[in-house]
Amino acid sequence: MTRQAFDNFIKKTNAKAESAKVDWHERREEWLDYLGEFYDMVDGFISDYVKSCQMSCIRTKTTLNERNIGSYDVDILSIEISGITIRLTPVGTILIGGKGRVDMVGPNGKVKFVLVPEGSTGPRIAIREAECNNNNDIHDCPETDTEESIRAWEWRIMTSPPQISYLPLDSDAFYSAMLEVING
Amino acid sequence: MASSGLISLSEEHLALEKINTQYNNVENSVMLYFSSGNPHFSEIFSLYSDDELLEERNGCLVEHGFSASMNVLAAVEAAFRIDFELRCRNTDLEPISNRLRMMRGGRMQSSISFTREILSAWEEEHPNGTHVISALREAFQFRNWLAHGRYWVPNMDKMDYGDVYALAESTFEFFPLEGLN
Repeated sequence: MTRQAFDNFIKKTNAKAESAKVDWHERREEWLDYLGEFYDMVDGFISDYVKSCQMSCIRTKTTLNERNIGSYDVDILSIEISGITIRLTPVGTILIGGKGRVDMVGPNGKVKFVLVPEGSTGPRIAIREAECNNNNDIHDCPETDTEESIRAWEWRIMTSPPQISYLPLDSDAFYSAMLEVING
Repeated sequence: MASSGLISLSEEHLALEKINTQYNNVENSVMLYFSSGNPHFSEIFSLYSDDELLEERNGCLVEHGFSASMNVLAAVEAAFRIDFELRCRNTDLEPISNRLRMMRGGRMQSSISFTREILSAWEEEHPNGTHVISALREAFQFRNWLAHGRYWVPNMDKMDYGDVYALAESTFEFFPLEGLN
């Protein structure tokens, strides 16, 4: 590769990064807000069981380390039912096609709770704008509906492949998820 | 010398260059599959974190390297066995040819051990190639570990594709194997 070609590559890469500038601090804070909302929902789903001492729920801290965001602390929620432990562990916010993920892990399985565009029912194929008449590489062109332009996000349950779907999250869905990770 | 036990050569043995082309094609395909250049990337890797994506991709590449390494070492063994076969059919007086013909006797080639007998014959006739033979023996221990299901703790270092390929090239440069081209 010649010096000129390398210079061009460096300029193009920096220009791309500049145009895609994200406020990573704001991104982290937004994710932590949504995570808080998720845990509030979970507290609501299990409050009756906790109040009647059929379940206990404790929070412990863990540290995540994500590209561009760096290290930060989040809560892990541990739910105990007669010696059986189910753990809700945040995975992060730098993810493909979503803004957040929390994994529920039990003795016999795992269920993923995902923060996705409101109303979405499954992964989207990213559509790239491309002009047909020039020689631009389609992968250099911006996506339509970029993540930053989507303002409404919601928590859903992600099914396993193949045929991944995002199912609405309510109390019944949450209880089913708990049974799945306990019983397999 | 009786010609019993001579085998018919299939001409289907793989050349190193072909194995390497295949290796590169598959590696490039894997890299593309795990990148945003894959038109179904968002669906397949939906909600994957960076670490999860890298782990799955690298796992795939490691397995691919193992498969390709097996092919390379199979090509090395095939080259020595083809050479063995051709020397047994010929009547040249090279010391290695005489040694291999005596080893053959009337035995089937499949009953002759590659690492213990064939490589030892080459080592005795080419003592300055001992370092290559030792490396080959270790590589074939690794190959056996792969080929037999990896169920025991290996007592040799695992090799990557690059190491195995370089060893194969060195072997072919060092030893004058008949029928190589």
